[in-house]
Amino acid sequence: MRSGLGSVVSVSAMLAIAGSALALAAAALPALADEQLDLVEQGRQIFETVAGVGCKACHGPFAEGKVGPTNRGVNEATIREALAKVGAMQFLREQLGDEDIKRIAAYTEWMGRHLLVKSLLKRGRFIPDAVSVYPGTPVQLVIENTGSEPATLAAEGVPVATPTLPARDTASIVWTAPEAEGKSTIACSDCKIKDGLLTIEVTKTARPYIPPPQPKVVAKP
Amino acid sequence: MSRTPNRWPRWLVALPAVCAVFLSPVPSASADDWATPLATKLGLTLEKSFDSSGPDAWDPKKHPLVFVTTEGPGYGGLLSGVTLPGVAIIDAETREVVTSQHYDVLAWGWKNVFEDHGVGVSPDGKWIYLPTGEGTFGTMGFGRLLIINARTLKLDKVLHTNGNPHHVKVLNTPDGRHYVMSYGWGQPLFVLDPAQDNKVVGGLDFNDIGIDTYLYFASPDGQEIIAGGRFRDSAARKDTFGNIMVRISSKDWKVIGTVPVQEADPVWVAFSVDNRYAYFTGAVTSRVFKYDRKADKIVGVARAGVEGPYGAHFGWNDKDLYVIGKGEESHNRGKVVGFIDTSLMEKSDRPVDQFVTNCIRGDHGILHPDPDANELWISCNSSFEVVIFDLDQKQVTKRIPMPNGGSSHSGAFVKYDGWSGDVLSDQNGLHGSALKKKRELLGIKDVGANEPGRPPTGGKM
Repeated sequence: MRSGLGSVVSVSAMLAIAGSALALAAAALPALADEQLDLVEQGRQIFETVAGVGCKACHGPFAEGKVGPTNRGVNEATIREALAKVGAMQFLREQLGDEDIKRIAAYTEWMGRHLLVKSLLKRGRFIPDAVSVYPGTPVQLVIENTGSEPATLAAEGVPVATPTLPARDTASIVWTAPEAEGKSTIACSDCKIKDGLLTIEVTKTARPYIPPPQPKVVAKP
Repeated sequence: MSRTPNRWPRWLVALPAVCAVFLSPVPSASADDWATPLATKLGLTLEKSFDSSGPDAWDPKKHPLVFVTTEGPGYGGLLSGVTLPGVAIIDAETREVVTSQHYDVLAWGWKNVFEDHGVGVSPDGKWIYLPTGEGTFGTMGFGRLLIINARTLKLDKVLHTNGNPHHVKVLNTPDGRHYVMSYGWGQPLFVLDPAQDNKVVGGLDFNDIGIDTYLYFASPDGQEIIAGGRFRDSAARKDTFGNIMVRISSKDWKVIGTVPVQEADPVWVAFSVDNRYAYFTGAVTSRVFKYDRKADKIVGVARAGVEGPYGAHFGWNDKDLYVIGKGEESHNRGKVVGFIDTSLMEKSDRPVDQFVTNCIRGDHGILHPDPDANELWISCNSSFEVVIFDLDQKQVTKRIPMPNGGSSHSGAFVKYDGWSGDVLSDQNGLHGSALKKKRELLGIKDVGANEPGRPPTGGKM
């Protein structure tokens, strides 16, 4: 099988080193110009930190939805409309300038172009331990290490740039599934339970990824 | 007493004459010797004493980390068939029931048994405390607290209490005292010292407090106990929204302050391990209140995510709060858990989610002391099981039926090294080395005591 481009980036490590996540964007979005990649990374940082809690506090760390709805794929106009109409977002109005909103939108739109696949690494086991994706799908594979010790990821078929996943941290592996069907695997090489394996099957039986439509903003006091 | 092996038929357990041994007191301790001025003030007497020595009832070498819970009759129209108060011990790793034991209090002439609404273990793991009594809520005006030898599972003492005792939990104070605290319906806070023959060494009455209070919780540093104000009359309290939480010092058992709270029935208190915040569940309004202990004010309110919240518990991140939907002051048949992100409470009143456990009338969750487990063990009063709710997966991963089909009601995780025990977690949260571990993982330093240390011996076993 042909493996796609990819990398592993620890979210907390990315936050600590400004711009360090450019590798993520560069790997995931080879078609984007450098300045666009800058925008995506800057947007990610704002998404995670604005007002001390970040957009992620309500929308989830990967914009998958939490108290607030998913905003993977939302564009700048939708963000501006939500800031104007949703009461719970009022506190962000003065925190976000025009350029900040553009940056956040670059990041959320970038996320919308990727299928989000999540797996927990708990006590040496991946939960779920098998996922399937349609060939050629851009994927953001998120692995959360729930344990109190670091874990070392050993991958076959999915390039892993930073194999060490710190305790209670999350890795975001961005890659594009190959066009040919096949299987890739990720294991935890130093977990107490050794038989844990995450299998990523690239198959045409998987549901093709369709980026989410632009949501309608409903005014809320 | 009857030790009931796993999975005996329920009818067999329901026949105390068959499987229960008559409990005959022996003069091992006199009531006069046991009494203290505080015990007298709080209405507590030593009713019976027993020689609790004997063969080991279970092997802590095979089961070094156990979950101690109750196995009782049930209550409120959903009865289990078990007719006696009892305890069950579950291996916290293998999740298998180790043993259970019931106590034939009916042989003393009791007409019935009041559900064990809680259970506690002394900090050193030597004594198990099982609240019980006769009648139902408040009908008798008194109750009993059974003190059980954890090694033999034999009764050691029966305390006569002023009201029905409710909960029992560890209290480790900043100056190194290792106590258990208890309270009940009509029974204000009393504190026992396991190292002094379980004598009453602390507490205060409702006159001292100035209001009837319901449940009491110690802060992680052990300096302070917070209790919820609650009118005893349920009809009156439903409309009493101008209420207070009462702050009590563990140093001298005096009230040191109150916190106004707009809730007719504040129930639970969960603390952040840095001692900064306390979270109160409100059963009538189905809300959770965030109290900033430093600023001394309520700084956030959120919907509980469940109707009639009871227990509220943090996992290992001290941010996500799980609220047990018991249906308190409501249907009392709850079977869900609410999920609140406490970091959002100053900005939003919305809970994050709700999860179905089908743990009927689940009331409290006890956090497993292994951070890699990150589980709440929830006692189910009316589906007669303990369910394990995985806080990472946000779902039930295991159901442990009670061995004789009885009701489970609270619990405590105890680590044993031989017969030297250490309570790591109970309904008041983490203790000792588990509390220290959580602070290390969260990078919290210099936040007070309640650090691990070998508790003083709890006397004979």
